[in-house]
Amino acid sequence: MALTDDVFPMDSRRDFLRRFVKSGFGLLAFLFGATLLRFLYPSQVRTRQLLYHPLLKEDDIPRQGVRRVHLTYDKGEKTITMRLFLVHAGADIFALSSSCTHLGCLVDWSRHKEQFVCPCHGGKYDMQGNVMAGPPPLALARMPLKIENGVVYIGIKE
Amino acid sequence: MGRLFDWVDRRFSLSTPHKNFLQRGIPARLSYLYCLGGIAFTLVILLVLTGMMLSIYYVPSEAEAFQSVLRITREVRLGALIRGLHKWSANLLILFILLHTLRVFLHKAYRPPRELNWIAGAFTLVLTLSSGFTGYLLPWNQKAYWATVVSTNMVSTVPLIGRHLLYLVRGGPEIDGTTLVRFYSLHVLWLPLAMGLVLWAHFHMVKRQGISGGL
Ligand code: HEM
Ligand code: FES
Repeated sequence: MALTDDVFPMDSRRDFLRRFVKSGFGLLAFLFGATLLRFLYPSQVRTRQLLYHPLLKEDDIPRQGVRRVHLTYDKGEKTITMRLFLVHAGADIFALSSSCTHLGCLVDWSRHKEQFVCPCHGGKYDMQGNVMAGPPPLALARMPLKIENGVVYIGIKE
Repeated sequence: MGRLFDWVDRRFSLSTPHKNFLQRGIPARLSYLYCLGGIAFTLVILLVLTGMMLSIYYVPSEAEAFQSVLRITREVRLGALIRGLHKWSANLLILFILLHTLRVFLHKAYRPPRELNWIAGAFTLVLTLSSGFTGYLLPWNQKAYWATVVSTNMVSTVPLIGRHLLYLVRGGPEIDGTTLVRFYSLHVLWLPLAMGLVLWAHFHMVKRQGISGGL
């Protein structure tokens, strides 16, 4: 008994445990600080630029009315395909995003009703993208579009 | 570090009043079951820390909430981890409060003079469930939206005033941006503050009344 008490006196064990627990908390605080800094640091420090991707030939723009098209482009290693609408209304040509401004379901053009119809909660938009009915708070977004050398390009923020 | 702490403490005098509590002897009969409440409290701390972090990137608006949550999971560094921690600790918190309650119940630790602390404990459960309920709407996706449509519909079944209660909860007849913002405010401001207050009372009573005799 005397032997163990000499080698491991009670007080030093208590001290050891106290230090052990304290360093545990110190380690936790350090890990949390490091995580916090990493989380707060912006994931992208370059300013994001508008990149134009080819969509189709100028000849394929509808004479008048709406055409559903798919834009395919590469982002990093991923290939992204998105549905959008090319609209020719009077003299205006523009591209509308297909995501409903309510909760982001994909709307479709109903030729029969002459409206964009959202399948989720009954949102409806006219040919210009303005809200006609349902919960959507905003018009369908117009996407940057340019026509160069007979090709239609759509701009996407990288 | 220790010296700096001592310097502050000699003026602020924080450790002396707590020394007796933090370093008191603990009855030998206590078991790990007595840790359940402490685990729940640890989860609350984790929720507050991860919640404060999420609130840096989360945008509580009709048009941007969903996108901002996507951005947290996909782009923000460690975003998915922090969001996952918030979600898991929210769920585990409910579990551990219930287990802690069970322990207190089986040990008959709710008997006088501890009735008020049982009541305080019940409030933490109500506050936790309310936080979970308001937090669930925040991702602003289909599941969140419809879950809240269904659950807020329930208050409209209250006789006579049901319809007005529904408008009160939703901030209008439908679930829209107004609902999102009031749920957000409750979730990150009102409920955590109330939780802090109730937990302070809870621990204060534990300190004053000591741990009960158990079985
Ligand atoms: C009692 C404590 C809390 C509980 C039970 C709780 C619960 C929840 C739940 C269930 C969600 C939905 C999670 C998801 O689907 O990803 C959520 C989201 C969120 N919470 Fe909390 N929370 C609590 C405290 C806090 C605090 C203190 C803050 C901020 C100060 C906070 C900020 C947020 C934010 C910004 C979101 C949305 C981000 C997201 O959905 O990932 N929470 N919370
Ligand atoms: S998502 Fe389109 S109406 Fe709700």
